[in-house]
Amino acid sequence: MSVSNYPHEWEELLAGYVLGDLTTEEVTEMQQLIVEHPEIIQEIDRLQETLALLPLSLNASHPSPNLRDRIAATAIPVAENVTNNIADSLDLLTAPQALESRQVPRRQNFWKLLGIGLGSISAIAIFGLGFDNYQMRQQIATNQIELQKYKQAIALLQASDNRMISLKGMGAIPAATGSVMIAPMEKTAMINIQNLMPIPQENSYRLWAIVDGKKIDCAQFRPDAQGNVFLKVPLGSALKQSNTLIITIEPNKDMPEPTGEMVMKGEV
Amino acid sequence: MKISEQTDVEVLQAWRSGSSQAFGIFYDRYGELVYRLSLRILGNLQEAEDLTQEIFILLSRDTNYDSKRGSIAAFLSVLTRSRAIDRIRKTRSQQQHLQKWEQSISSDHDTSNSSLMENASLSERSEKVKAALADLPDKHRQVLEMAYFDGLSQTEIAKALDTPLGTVKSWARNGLIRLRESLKDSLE
Repeated sequence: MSVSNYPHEWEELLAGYVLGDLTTEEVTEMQQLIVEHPEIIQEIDRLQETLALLPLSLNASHPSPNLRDRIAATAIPVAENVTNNIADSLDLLTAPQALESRQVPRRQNFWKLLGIGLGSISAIAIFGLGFDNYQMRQQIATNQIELQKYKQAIALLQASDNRMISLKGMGAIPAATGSVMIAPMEKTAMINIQNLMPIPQENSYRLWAIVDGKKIDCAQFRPDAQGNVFLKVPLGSALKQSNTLIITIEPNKDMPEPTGEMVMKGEV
Repeated sequence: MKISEQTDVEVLQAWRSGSSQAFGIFYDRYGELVYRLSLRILGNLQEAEDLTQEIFILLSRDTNYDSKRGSIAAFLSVLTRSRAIDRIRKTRSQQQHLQKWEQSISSDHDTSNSSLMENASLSERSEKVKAALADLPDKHRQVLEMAYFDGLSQTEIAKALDTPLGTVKSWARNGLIRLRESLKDSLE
């Protein structure tokens, strides 16, 4: 069905809704229109999709090549089953309503939104509600991620054969503190550090395990804006055996051994 | 079937199940789209990379993406734009924001070829969107871009362009309608 099947004034009204610029009177008109022609909601979806395609018009600009690896380090779930199960149970525990709402078809959501909007007097309010609702769902998603991380962390902490190596800042970052938790059962190590200083784009922090005098590369990371790192990495044999860990600042490429100054150290 | 031939939704699922190969494919298809939009809105390389990372982390864990509701490209755009504009609102005053707009908006539109992504269908769509935008009257395109990429309200746009609000609205609405018509085939 094409937009041109509708009168132009209707199209403008729908476009105005999608752009969030309807006046009070137009909101009333729009509500009336939807009541009389519910199928018009499809056109709203298409206009929204059209608007969302605008970024495809942007010119080439490439992120730094290492961004892919940095994202890969934090955005690939480690253990499929455990992660999914925890995520599901957390969903149910923390936000059953979020789970339900995800199953409600779009049209119903739209009606619900519009229903709330009916009482409002300004166009900004109706758009604002949509935005807030969206923000709220995103906030719930973010909170769930946080919760999931902590839940996993707690599960790891509870295993009996765990050991922890504390890390202390030195050199350029004396204020940094943190630890590496080694969980052999889960074949995982968890790196948790605070107060790291920001470093240039082309560098990252790197964790080395010292085994028989050799320094072995175990993990590479960059802190968030607050200087924190909370990272789960697969447990390699070096990290499993080692009693001494050091952290240096290195270029973002394969380094056979550390070249930068030592900024944190930990020993059992 | 090879994973590189699978649909976006299948690749996304494989990635969420822990496949680093699937992550790589997904990133190669959409990483640049997210990055470009982030960079366009935030105007800062570091922030754009941070936001790109944030979006991918979100996507890896939990999202409300539903393929029935639209394409992954559109979903990522909405999510990225919303987060980017949120950051801007938090960190910048509207004044600085307007200045950024004045410096950057005019230079941004260009229909020259660029390989947007390794994924052919997406780069094809990119060309279509570029062509459709280039086809709009200048003012229509300009107000749409100001509203979308700079998060400006129609009132702010009217002020910046020294044009009556009603005219700005009409440009934006008709721009969008016309764009929707040109892109009709890409939307099905």
